[in-house]
Amino acid sequence: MSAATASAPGDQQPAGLSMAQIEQVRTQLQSDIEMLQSSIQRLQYAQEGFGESMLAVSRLPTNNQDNSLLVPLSSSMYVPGRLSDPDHVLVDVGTGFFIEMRPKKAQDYFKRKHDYIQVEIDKLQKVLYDKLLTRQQINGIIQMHLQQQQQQQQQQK
Amino acid sequence: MAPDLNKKLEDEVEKYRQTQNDMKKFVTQQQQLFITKTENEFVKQEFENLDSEANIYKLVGPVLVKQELGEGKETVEKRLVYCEGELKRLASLMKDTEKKLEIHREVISKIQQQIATNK
Repeated sequence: MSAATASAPGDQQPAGLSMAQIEQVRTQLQSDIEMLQSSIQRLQYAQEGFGESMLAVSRLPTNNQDNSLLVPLSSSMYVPGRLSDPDHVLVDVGTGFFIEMRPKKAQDYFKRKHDYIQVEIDKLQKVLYDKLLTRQQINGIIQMHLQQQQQQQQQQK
Repeated sequence: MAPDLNKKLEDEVEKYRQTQNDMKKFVTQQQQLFITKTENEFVKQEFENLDSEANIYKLVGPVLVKQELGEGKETVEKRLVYCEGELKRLASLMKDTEKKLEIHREVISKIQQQIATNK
């Protein structure tokens, strides 16, 4: 047996960690990745909400147009009505507060929120990408080690 | 001697688990506070961009109540101060709990060593 193959399993890897430690790192990485992915999903869902609000406000009739509508009284009954003040909308800004705004301001608000979330999503995407790369590298190291072990076992036969 | 030590070990591990549970609760509380704080900061920002003529409303149960911008700003500010206070308190609590965990770990490891040497 050559000196290179006379080594026990779990010895020092090129990365400087033992096999068990690498496994630990990989498990931690996996759970980090899953958490990041689920966070990004939740952010995208919230962002969609703001996008829809923006759309809804843009569809509001102006004063000169016909502003009759149907008001739901229950899930199966509607009553005809008219939008009394299409110039103002109440926007839920969080913690139970609503601000009366002009439709244009409301659209700006929703766009701002939408863009802010996009910035946060981009930050998370970057971190996620780095973690995915690291996971790939670690998988490569584990593969290599397994192959080394197999070769050792072959040679010992 | 050995059964005593084992019992001691069990007790100490149980204490460690309880402290860990406490820690988890603190982390959850901290996350919740963080969310509330961020939400209030958003509202504060929006209020700052309004002029004094703007109308704001507060949701109290099923009722939307008209409020003065000044009042709204005050409410949000008070909430923010409360959140920050709670976060500070939690942070120091968590530091202490972390120290407790460390002490537990040391005691457990000592007992384990004793058990090992007694065999």
